[in-house]
Amino acid sequence: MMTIEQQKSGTEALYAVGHYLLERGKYRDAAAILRTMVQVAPGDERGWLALGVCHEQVDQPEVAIEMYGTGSALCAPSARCDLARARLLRECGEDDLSAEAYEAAAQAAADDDELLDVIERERVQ
Amino acid sequence: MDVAATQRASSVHLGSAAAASPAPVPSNRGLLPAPKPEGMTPVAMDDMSGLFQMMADQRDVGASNEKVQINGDKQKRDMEMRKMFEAKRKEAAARSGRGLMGSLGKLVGDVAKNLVTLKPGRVFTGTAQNFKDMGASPKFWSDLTAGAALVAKVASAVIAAATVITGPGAAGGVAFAAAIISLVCMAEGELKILERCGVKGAAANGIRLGASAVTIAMGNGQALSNAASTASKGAQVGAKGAEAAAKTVSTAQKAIKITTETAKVLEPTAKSVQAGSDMAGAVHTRNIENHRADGEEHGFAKDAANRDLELHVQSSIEGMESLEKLLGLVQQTMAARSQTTLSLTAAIGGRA
Repeated sequence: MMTIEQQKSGTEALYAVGHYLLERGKYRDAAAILRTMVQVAPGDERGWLALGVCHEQVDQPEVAIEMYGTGSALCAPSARCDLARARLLRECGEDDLSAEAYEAAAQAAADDDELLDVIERERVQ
Repeated sequence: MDVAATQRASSVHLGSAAAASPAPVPSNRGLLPAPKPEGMTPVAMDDMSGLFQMMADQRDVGASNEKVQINGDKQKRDMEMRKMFEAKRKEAAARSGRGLMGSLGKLVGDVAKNLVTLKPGRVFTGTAQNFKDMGASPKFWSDLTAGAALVAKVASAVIAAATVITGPGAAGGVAFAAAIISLVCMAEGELKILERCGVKGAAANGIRLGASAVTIAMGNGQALSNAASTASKGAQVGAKGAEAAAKTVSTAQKAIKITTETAKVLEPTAKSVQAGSDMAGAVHTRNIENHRADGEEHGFAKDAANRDLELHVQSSIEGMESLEKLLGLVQQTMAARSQTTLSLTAAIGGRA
């Protein structure tokens, strides 16, 4: 039986490696690592965020929306997932749904003034 | 006007009829938090970077051989050090097992193998008994076994009920299915899978997945009722009326069981987390031993420590390749299936 500390350490290792690969433009390798992370820690929004970014970088915005949406559902509340989804929806021309996502992000970010400020500025653009 | 000023001007939203194009959307990369160093040793964090840089270097350039200076006393000392580090390396290799991706590759490979051989009721090993009563719609089940990605589509409308039945495990089931979608789409380089779900403008499907899942109801009977209502409503909008609505409700009920079993499959993935920790530990060990080797100027000590790390790296690469190959079979099988179930799942999602 794995201890909680062991699982946390493993999850952090996965995110660190995935983040590193993503930052260096190795999106497919990063996605492989991050797919593991979202399965072992489905409640950790970072995995879904990073996996969505990978798909954005290989020009798959629809899949990225899927990842952000899943992260938003599983990690609720997740202001970052909602915000990422809102941005992409706007880029895809889904203004109404984007507005809903921005609203959800604003509600989720109620305790994060800095992030809330970003959300509020973007949603009125 | 200089370039910088021009760029600044173009990014300012003037708010007038003569305004320029809307402000560019910031990149979502900025939302990613930095990895937490306290979750790993700082040395291991640094070496994770070095680990993958080394992988890239070795792939591109090839390993280089270091020449070892040999003289009498140093040679004897080196031999002793080599024996010690070889013993340590074997110990570490025995402890680490498959490695991170090897563990995951085996897990998903086991599931994918059953999927591609299309053995209804045997996709999730050890649960054949539970699926004996699924004979009412064998075509649906045989279609569904063609791709685990469909679990996410179907489960999105019934996740409330699945949550009630399985508890937190349902999250793992959805995560598994989402990971399949990610892998298939990334490997394929196109959105064939989402397109085959009958979505024009696949963004709509993504919206539905996220939106449907948010309606997780924590009640009991109400959850199943809500899920059936959602499925029914979607079918009426996008499918063929009452008959389709009845089918989607039945499909939803089956999806509950499928999601439950999917969650059980995910338990072994915890082992891959242990393998990941082992990898980080091996990197950490390598770094320590390298530092010692630097201090003592023992080339063999460095080589032995690096070989230890290379074993983990190679295991990971092989595991990743195996995983990609096996799940590619899932995608091929999905592409060969009929559209019936895919149309139903699109309807369940409430897409017009």
